[in-house]
Order: sequence, then structure tokens, then C-alpha cells
Amino acid sequence: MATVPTNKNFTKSYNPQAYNPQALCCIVGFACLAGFLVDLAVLSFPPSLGNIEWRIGFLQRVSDRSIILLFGLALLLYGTLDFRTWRRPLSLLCTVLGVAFSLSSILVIADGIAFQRQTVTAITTQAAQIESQIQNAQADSTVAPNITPEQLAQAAQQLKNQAKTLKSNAQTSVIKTGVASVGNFLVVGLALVGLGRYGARSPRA
Amino acid sequence: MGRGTNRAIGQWKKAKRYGLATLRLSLRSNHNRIVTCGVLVCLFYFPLWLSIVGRETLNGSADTLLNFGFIYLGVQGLLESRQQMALYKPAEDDRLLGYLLILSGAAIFPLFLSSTSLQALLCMWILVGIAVCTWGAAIFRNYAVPLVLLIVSVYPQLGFVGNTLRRTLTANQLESWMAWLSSLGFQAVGQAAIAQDQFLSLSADFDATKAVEVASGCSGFDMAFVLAGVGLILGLFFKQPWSKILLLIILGVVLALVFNVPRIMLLAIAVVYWGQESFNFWHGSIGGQIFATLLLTCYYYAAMTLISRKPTKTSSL
Repeated sequence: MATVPTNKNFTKSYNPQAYNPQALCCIVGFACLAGFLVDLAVLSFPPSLGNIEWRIGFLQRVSDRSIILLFGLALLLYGTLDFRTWRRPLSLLCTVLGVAFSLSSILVIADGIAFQRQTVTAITTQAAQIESQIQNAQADSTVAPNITPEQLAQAAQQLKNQAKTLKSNAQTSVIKTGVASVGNFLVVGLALVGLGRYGARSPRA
Repeated sequence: MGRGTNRAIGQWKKAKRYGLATLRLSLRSNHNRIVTCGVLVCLFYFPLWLSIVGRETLNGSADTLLNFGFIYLGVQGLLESRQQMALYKPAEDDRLLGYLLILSGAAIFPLFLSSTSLQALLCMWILVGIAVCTWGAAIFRNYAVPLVLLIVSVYPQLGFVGNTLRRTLTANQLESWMAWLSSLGFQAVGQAAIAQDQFLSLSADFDATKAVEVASGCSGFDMAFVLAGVGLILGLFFKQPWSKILLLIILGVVLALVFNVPRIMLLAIAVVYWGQESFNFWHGSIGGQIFATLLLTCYYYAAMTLISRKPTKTSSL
């Protein structure tokens, strides 16, 4: 007949040395860090630092995954709190990464502004080209004999409205993406700085 | 040589001695060198800030009121507590953090010379670094208000940032509400009017020939933003509790939006019935100043009534 283990038996079998939560945190922390680094390596290849679209996409994806880095470093720091030789450099790493992540938010804003200008200029140029074609057609009826002047005027008005809407949409979407990335970078950056300060001032020797 | 020339030479020598002493002090230790590096970057940005703020002030922009108000309150707050602040000693990790902030900001500053906003952000970043490495991060816990006000005042066009964020998050909702409220205002005085999105038409059915667009600049947000800032400044200046400061801010926002409705109504009548010249007058700087004066006068009396009211006694814990 099977016997149900009593509390006494359970206490005997529990060995705090064998179930050290800090070791578990270290394992999960390393796993998170490794996962983040693999993601980072995949995202950054092939590198194209001069390309603004690549930079925006890269920074956006890094900001999306930054919470994994924060989680991994927090677990790793907790796992190494009792080891001064590990804790100190890890705290320093957290502080440096925190500053780097917070500073990345400024890079995101810079790229966002530049990309917005680039997009608006492209839309304006295309709209101006089409407008000049419409004006040519209005001036010379042989260019488009089947289209009436009223239809051309209507097309010109539609073009203006569409260009305005496209510019507005482009600006809004760039700013929205930028705000989300900036928010992520700032929050994770500040949290990493906080981790660094916690590790550096931990009461454990 | 005249007496005036002698005095000028004396003052020049005194200034030179003071300058050399400051230079020696700034290079004495690593801490001083790094802080000097940050200060130099901020000094490089300062003429740009001054030119923008000066230009905006001359153009009648109310945004600069916030900058000057924030600087005044920030400097006053820090001067009042300078003796207590001198007791703050930064921990080793705070110093390191401050140095990292200053040096990283100074390192990438030359990359963003074409953008005023980014230069301003980097100067704010460096100022945070200087505060952290000089007094420690704890200074932000105890003197958050004056420090944040000073740092925010470094940005020269606060209203622009607020409006950009507002338009990104809410698109043209405020403009549409203003058009709708104005149409209600017209209907209340017996004039047929209808609103469609941000367009307001002075007719029973929407008529494009009698319609005006409530653009971003006419949404009332700019004045609401300024009056919210003025409410904050007034509240802090008169050392009001935070609940009352919040009330002053809400009062400013509500008054600005309410006053914007008759302004839009007048502009709509001007553009539809009175002609372009009249519209230009009311939409231009003189018309804008008339409305701003009325609004600020009403806000001043309302705010003073709120401030002078005796605060209710609350039991302290």
C-alpha cells in the first residue's frame, strides 16, 4: 500500500543546498542573455549602419526585445549577489548598458526626424511630378484628348488631398513608432541603471 | 589716461584673474575636468537657445514664458537650498553614472549640430549627469521640482513638442471637437452651422463654399499648454499645495479651450462673410493678441481667486 509522505519526511528530504534559487536564477538569466545576444546577432547581420531604414528597424527590434535583456541581467545579478567578484562587474555592465539604452532613445529620435523629412520630401516630389503632368494636360489638350478639363481639375484637387493625407499619415506613423521605441529604451535603460546601483550598493559583502 | 580707462583696465585685470582661477579650478581634478567638458557643451548650445527664445519672444510666442518661469523657479529653488545641497556627497557608483552621462552626451553632441531639439535633449542629458556626479542621484528625490524645471527649461520650444505628441496620439480630434462646439455656438445664436470632422460650415447642410477648416494652430492646444504651464508656475511661485496647483492647471486648460470657441466662430464669420482682409486681421498677430489678452486677464483673476482662498485644514498623518 502506498504511503503518503508526512511533513517530517518532506523536511528530511528537502536540502536547501540542492535547491538553491540563486543557481536557478543564474541559469534562467544566462538563457535570457544568450537568447538576447542571438537575436541581436541575427538582427544586426548584414549590418548597414549608413541606411536609415535599417537603423530604425534595428533599433525598434532591439527596443522590443530589451525587456529580455533586463530580465536576464536582473536574474543573473540576483544569482551572483553573494559573489563580490561577479557582482561588481555585472553592476558596472548594467550601468553602462543602462546609459547606452537611454542614449539610444536620442538616436531613435534623430533617425525618426530624418526619416520623416525624407518621406515627406519623397511624397512632395512625387506629387509635384504628377501635378506638373496634370498641368501639361490642362495646357495641351492633345496630351489627353479623352479627359475633360473638369476631370483634370478634380484629379489635381484629389492629388493635393491625397498628398496631404499621405504626409500626415507618414509623420504620424514615424512619430508613433519612435515614441514606442523611445519609451522602451528609456524604461529599460533606467531599470538597468537601477539594477547597476542596486548591485553596487548591495548590503551583501 | 582717464579715470574711466583706469577703471576699465582694473576690471579687466580682475576678470582675467577670476577667469584664470576658474580655469585652474576646472582642470584641477578628473571630476572637474569632466564637469567642465559638460559645461562647455552646454555653453556651446546656449547661444542657439538664446537666439530661439529671443526670436520667439519677439514674435509674441507665449511658450518662452514657460522657459523663463521654469528657470526662475528652478534657480530660486536651488539657491534657497544651496546649503543643504552642499552636504550631499555622491557615492562612487553615482559619480560613475554621472561621468558616463556627461561623456556619452558630449561624445555624440557633434553628430547632431543640425538639430536644435537633439542638441537641447543632449544638454538636458548632460545636466542630469552633472547633477548626479556632483550631488548623487538622491538629489533628484529631494529637489526634484527645481531640478526638473531647470532641465526642462533647456528645451526652447516646449509647446511644439506637446502639440506634436498630441497630434500623433489623438490625430485631429481636438480640431473636430472645436468645430463641433463652434457649430453648437452658432446654433445657439440662431446661425445655421454644421461640423464635419475638423470642418465647420455656416449652412444648414455642409457647403464647401461656406466651410472653414479648424487647423492645428486654431485648436486651442497651444494656449491650453501655455496656461497649464502658467498654472504650474503660479502655483509653485505662491507655494500652493499640489492639489491646488492641479486645479490651476485644469482651470487654465479649460479656459483656453472655452475661449477658443468664440475665436473660431469669429474667424469663421470673417472668412465666410467679411472677406480675406478681415480674416487676416483676426487670424494675425493683432487679433491673436486681443484674444490672448482677454484670456490671460480672465485666467489671472480666476487663478488669483483660487489662490487667495484659504486652504482647507487637513489633518496631517
